[in-house]
Order: sequence, then structure tokens, then C-alpha cells
Amino acid sequence: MITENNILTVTELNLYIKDIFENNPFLSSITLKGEISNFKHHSTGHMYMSLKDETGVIRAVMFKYAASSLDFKPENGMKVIIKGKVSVYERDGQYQIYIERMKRDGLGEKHIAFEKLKAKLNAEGLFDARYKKPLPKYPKKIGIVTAPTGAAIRDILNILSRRFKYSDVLLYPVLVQGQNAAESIVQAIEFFNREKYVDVMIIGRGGGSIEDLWAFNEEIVARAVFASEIPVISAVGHEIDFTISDFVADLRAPTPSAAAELVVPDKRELLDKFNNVLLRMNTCVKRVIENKRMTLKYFEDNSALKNISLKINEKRMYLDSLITSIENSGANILSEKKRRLSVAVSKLDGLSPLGTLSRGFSLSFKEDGNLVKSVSDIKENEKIDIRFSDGSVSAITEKISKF
Amino acid sequence: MKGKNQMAENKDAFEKNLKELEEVVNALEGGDVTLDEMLSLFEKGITLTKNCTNQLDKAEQKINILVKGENDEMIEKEFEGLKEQI
Repeated sequence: MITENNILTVTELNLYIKDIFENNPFLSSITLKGEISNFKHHSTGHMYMSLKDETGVIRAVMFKYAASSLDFKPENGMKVIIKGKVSVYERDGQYQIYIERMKRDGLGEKHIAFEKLKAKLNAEGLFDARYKKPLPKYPKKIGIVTAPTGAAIRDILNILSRRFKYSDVLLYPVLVQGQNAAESIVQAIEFFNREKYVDVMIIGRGGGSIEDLWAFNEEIVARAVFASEIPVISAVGHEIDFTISDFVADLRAPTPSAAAELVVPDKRELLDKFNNVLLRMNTCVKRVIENKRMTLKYFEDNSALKNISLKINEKRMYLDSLITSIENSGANILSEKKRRLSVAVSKLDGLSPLGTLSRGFSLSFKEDGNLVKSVSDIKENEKIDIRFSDGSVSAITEKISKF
Repeated sequence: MKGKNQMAENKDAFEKNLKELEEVVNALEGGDVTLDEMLSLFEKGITLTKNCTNQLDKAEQKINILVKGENDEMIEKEFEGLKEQI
């Protein structure tokens, strides 16, 4: 029966209930464990979330002052232990837990599982250096086992295309976290081995919590990496993250980007190497020809051998023509090199004689091919050949004046 | 399929060229060759260097992704994901 004097407002009721919660000594200080879901970090700094177990859920809030003392970033799926009080938010008529402090739960178990598996596989010899396969120097095709979106694949592809376009890339997209991640990674490794599609593979993902990286600590992944006939580079998380697959892999890269740097050579270094090879060949050949020429000159100057001077002259002309053709082929190659290098390593320009030429300097050669190093090397009315970076000019000296 | 094989052959050629180039330089620097042998080695070295450089300059990286086909078989397709992300 409704009478005027026992009617409450909604707010009055909610406040009454709140009062009961607040004055209950058990509810005003509790310790609770659960898994975070519906996590929201509001722009005001407050954190809103739900805590759940298999059968239940409770709303939770952590105000900015309390959240500021956290030493980790809460995420959905994370297991936590919290201290706080249960009270009522009278506007919504909802009870919820007000979190004062929060710490990670289950890390101890993960750590123990990690160490146990590591010890077991180590005892079996899965980490032994003798099982590590060498990586191909110039891979034709690189298999990548990671998520098709996100920082890891982007970083890897960027670096591969910058360093060495010669290697093709084949991505096997996998789940890198969650319940089916390990299974999915194993499938990819086995696929590449069955099909022999690639000659090296990178397995990995970007950084995340220990739970996020956990697939790479699973035994089935470790065994698949070990069984792989194709060399495997493991690149999981950041530099500080070590996973079991890192230990089993043929090479551990500290990050996915680093894996891309390790798997291919740098094109610029290779081009430098070719340049160096050309210089070495040039030097070598020129030295040998100079030696032969000196030997000929010795015989020519020796009067007892004058009767064969005709033959010697022929030989000398042959050598001269060789020198010219070698200098030409060397110069052609070098100017081509120079064009490429001026793009790639322009700072080296200053060191190269061709760089000097392209800045407007030139070299003068006498008719016998010797470089003019001083005005005293030439006389007036002498033919000289002036070489520029892009061609040469034949000239006759008119007047010689010494500084 | 023919294109694929041809690609693989080209790629083998790069490594083969590099290896030959090393041998040429070693022979030249070893110095134990006649003048004519030396000159043909030199010529070969120049050609090999040019070939290697060309191959590096002209290499086009193919980036593919494996996707499941109708009968669960894996098919190679061009990977477009990176373009979307950038």
C-alpha cells in the first residue's frame, strides 16, 4: 500500500545503498584478481574497464591519481591483481570497484614456464651452435612469417627494398598473438619447408607484452624452427625481449628491422666493392705492361741487339696500343661508376680523380701518353692531349710561361 | 611458370658472375699468367663487373603474399598491404 510518507526518490535510494556499501568494512578494502576487458584510458587520465573471470564480470574505475603510479600499461586480456573498494555510482545505480593499486598477475607462472622449456630444449641440444645453418649471402627469395599488417612487416619491407631489391619477398600471413598464434606460425614454417619456396625465412613480430609475444615461447614453434631445413632468423619484439624461438633459430635479430638488415647485403657496399675490384685490376695490368715496356727498352738501348730492333718496335707499338685500350676501358667504366657513386655516395667524390675532373680540372697528356705534371715537361709547339671528365681535346702549345 | 624459371636463372647468374669475378681478380693479382692471358682476364673482369652492376641496378623486388585458394591451397599474390599502410 502506497502512502505519501514512505516514498523515496531514486537518488535517495541510491545514496542509501551507497551508504551501506561504504560502511561495510569488507567491501571498503578488498583484494581481487581478474582479467581486464573493455579497457578505456579516458583523456582525463582516468581508466575505465571491466574485470572478469570465467563466469562473472564487475565494472572498475581507476582514477588518474591512482593510475599515475602504474609501472605498466594495462591492456585487454591482461591478468591483474588489484586493491580497492566497492562502492556505488549513484547516478547510474551501478556498483563498481574503485581501484587504488594494480599489479600484473601470472608473470611468475609465465617466467617459470619459460625457464623450464628453455632448460629442457637446451638439454636436448636444440640451441647447439653445430645445428645453426649458415644464411645465404644473396637470398633469391625471403620468406616472412608475421602479421600482414603492423609495424614489423612494414619495417622489414622498407629496409629490404632500400638495401637489396635483388631479393624477392614472400609473406606468409600468420596470427602473432592469441590462442591460435603458435599453430599458425608452425603451419607457415612447415609450408615453406614443404614447398621449398624460399631460401631463408624471418619469423617474428613487433613489440608487445609478454603475453603478446608468448607464441614465440611455445614448444611447437621451437620444434618447427629446429626442424626447418631452411635457415630461420627469429626477430621478436624489442632488443630486450628474448624468446625460446630466438635461441633455436639459426640467427636471432634484436628487432624485425634488424632482421631485414641481416638477411641481405647493402647494394651500396656491393657497388663500392665492384669499384674497388676495377681499380685493383687496372693497377695490376698497368704495372705488368710497364714492366714489359722497360724490358723492351733495355734491349733496344743495347747496341748488340740492334738487329732485332724492328721486331722490338713492333712489340712496343703493340704494348702502346694495349695501354691505350686499357686506359680507355678503365676510363669508361670509371665514368659510369662515377655517375652512380655521385648519387649514392657523393661525399666520396672529393677523393676521386674523376670527381676532380668534373669540377672543371683537366689532365694534359703528351703525345707519348705521359701525364704533363709540370710546364717543364713540354716545349712550345708541342701536341698535347687535354682530358676532361667527359672527353678530350687535342691542342698545340703556343707559349710556355713558368710561375 | 616459364617466367619463374627464367627469374631463378637470372638470379643464379648474379652469384655465378660474382664468383667468377673473384677468380679473375685472384688470377690477375697472382701474377702467374702470360701477357695475353692477363689481357683476356682483364677484359673478362670488366665484363663481369658490368654485368653484376647492371643486375643490381635493374633488379625489381617482387613482394608477394600467400592467400588461401578455394580448395585450401596456397596461392601467391602481389602484396598490396604496405601501400595501404603508408
